[in-house]
Amino acid sequence: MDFGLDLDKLQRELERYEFAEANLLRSWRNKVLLENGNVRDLMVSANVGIGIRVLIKGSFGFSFSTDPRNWELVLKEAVKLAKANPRPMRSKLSKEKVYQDKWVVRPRKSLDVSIDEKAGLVQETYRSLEIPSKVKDIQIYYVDVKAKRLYLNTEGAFISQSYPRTRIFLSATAKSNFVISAFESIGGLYGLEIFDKIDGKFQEAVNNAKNLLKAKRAPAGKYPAILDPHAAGVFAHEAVGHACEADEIVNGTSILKDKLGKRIGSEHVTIIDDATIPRGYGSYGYDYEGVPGQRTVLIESGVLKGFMHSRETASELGTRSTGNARAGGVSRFPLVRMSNTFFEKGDYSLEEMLEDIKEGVYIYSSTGGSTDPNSGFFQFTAQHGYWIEDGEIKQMLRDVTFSGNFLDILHNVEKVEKDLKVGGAGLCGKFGQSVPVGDGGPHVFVKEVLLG
Amino acid sequence: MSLESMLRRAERFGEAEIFFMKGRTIEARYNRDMIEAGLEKIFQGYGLRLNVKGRVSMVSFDLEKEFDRALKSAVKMTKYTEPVKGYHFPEKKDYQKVKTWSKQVSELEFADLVNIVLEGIDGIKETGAEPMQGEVSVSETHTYIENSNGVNFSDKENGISLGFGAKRGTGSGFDFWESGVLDFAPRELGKNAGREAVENSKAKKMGWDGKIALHPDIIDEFLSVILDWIDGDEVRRKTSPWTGKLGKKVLGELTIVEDPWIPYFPGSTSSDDEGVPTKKKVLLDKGVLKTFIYDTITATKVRAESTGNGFRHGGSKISIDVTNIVVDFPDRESMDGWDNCIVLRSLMGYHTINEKTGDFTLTVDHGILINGEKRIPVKGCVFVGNLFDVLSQVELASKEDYRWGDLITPYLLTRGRLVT
Repeated sequence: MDFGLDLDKLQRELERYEFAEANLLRSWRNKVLLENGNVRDLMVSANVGIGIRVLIKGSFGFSFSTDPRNWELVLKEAVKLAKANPRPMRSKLSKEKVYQDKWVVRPRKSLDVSIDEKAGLVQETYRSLEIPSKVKDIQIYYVDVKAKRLYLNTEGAFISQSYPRTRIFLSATAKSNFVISAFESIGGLYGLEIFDKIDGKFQEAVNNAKNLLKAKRAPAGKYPAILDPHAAGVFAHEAVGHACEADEIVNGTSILKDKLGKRIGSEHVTIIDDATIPRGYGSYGYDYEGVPGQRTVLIESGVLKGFMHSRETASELGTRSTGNARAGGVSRFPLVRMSNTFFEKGDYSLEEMLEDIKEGVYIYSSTGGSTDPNSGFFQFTAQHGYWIEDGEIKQMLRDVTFSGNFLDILHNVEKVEKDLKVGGAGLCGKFGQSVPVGDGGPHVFVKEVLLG
Repeated sequence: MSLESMLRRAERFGEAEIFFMKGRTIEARYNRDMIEAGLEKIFQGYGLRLNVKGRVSMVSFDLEKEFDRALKSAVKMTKYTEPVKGYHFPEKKDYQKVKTWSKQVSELEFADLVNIVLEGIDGIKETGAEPMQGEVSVSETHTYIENSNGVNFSDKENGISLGFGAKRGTGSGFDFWESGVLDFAPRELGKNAGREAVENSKAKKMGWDGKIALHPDIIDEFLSVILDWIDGDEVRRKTSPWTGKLGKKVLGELTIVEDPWIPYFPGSTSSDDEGVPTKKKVLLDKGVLKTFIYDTITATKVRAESTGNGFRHGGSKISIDVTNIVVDFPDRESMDGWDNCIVLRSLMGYHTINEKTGDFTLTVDHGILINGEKRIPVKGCVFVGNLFDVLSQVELASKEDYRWGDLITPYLLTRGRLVT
């Protein structure tokens, strides 16, 4: 892997310190923005960098450069910063198995074609759409990255990872006496086969934009609700996942800090974080501390079973890392982050969920949510919804939001669908560091949510 | 290879532009009452744009040795992008001198940042709250823009950013400051965060239909949605709710000015990232929409002039954005007289605001009901409304102005509804 430096020498230098690790990244990125069928922007970028973190007497120092050839200076600066700390946290790292490994994900359809060919594929996608007259603007944004990441540390770890990551996003805006938009996003560790995954989803978004012009506002009040797989996934990530990040536990800022082993939801609730989902948008081989990405059970049948850890939080809580130390690029200090987070499948069909609902709401996808892990208060907004009456999905609703304490929602989960669809692609922005995450899941029936 | 050499080589294929930025940041990160890490970043990056008969391409890269490959890609891409008739990169113009760099900030080292952090932490502890995670960072960047039409701009800027988070039980508080000079008091910022956490720990849900005062943090978040509606590209595509509303009253009596020339302010700059001089401009005058904002490409598409609002974020393409924003309102009075109202300090879920209709449902993270002498903390209820309505119904503004990042604004008193 060509980073233009003597890796053996770097490894020997890292070994001189109590603990030191280097993350190197080289990436090539292509972006295409199509506006109403025309190629508005094409952009190529080539990025490279090295981040070195050292731990000396319980104090971290971290330094980064966009030129890996400067690694000696980067290491020196990291050491200097660690030593200059007058009030260190006395941080420690959990003991973990040391790996020398290569993790490679190859695209099924190579990304090594010119950007104009990629633009052509995006244009074909656009041309395949039937666009109603009320839909006035369609933007399709395609981005792919080919990344090569290298990890080395004092303990002898030497891990190389090569993978593609692609995402394609459509926004459709409709207009009558007001303006409204609908979206769809598909992503994963794919090559150009991502275009085969669209499968009618973009057409659905275009139709949704038009239909939203006639949608009624969602009612306010308490109703039973069915969360579709994407909405359930975003809820699992935003409301539950962040409160299960062990840095929040260690800092005493999660409502779950003293609930390990206790019941926090109904028996139907099992929530997983899994970095090993094949080609998941949030999947990876190893985290930024050289620990393998893995499947971590957070909640099992309603009982809080575990948290997501870095080596630092694992050491503080006397456990092992779950391989969740991730960073928004090698220029950033790793934090505890999720990978692909979702409800595990249950025993019911969607029809069985619908049949008991006299009046309720079907929550369709999500435009986002947020949670205060300290109090458990969350806020969730769907792209839209549908009114359910006498077990049947009826008219479309817009401005569908619900909020409350996520523990109440977990206790109110009564049925979970037997099909599991993990395929959502999003970006999580904890502490200003953006990392790719996946979500999805089964449909989830909640007997009562507070809408509006 | 110098930037000029790069420019000359690129010019063989059409109009060219080279953007180069290099910089350094240092950061002291704390966790609880200890310093978790010292961090440093040294970075640089190039942006190359080519314009061949209105077909524009862009490549970004970190290392000089990538230039040849970047140029090859840029040349090829110009064959496939949609042409913008009559488009040219900007021509050389005079720039307003703006103070964006100070010696005192440039001299700050890690040890100074640690002292600032420890002072802030002491401030938090004095209130009985505990410090959470946060950081103090200082950054310096040097920017260079050269193009085939004579633009040859360079500038340097630096600044410091402080964030203090505090908790007490299930309550939390936060305060922050960004500046190009050392005009802050870390202990006071820490105290503000601490006091807020203590107050917030006693907060309860409450329904409300009446007067609501908005903290600058909330105004900042609301304006980030509203200001997209004056983005010339959104207007061109007719996806802005303010399309066709130039000269019309759209937002009550609010006046919103973009001022890129405030000395040492976070958003201050004399040029945008295309080399177009920035301008001070009135966006809304007593609620009347006065202008849309443009980069050069959008301006050409709609036969307007760039307003100096073309900016790059990281290695991304040029997009339309604002610099510093100043909010004003005709009627002002001291907040001491504001009674029987809820002062909203922070809300959750801003990214869920409907960016087209302005409808929102946001959970109250921290608010205070002012009732005579009583201050009753509020949280967990839901603020339901519409941005147009909430900002159009502003009745009063506080006498004092407040800074929040690159925003200067008074508190705004409006009407709103909280539901439990």
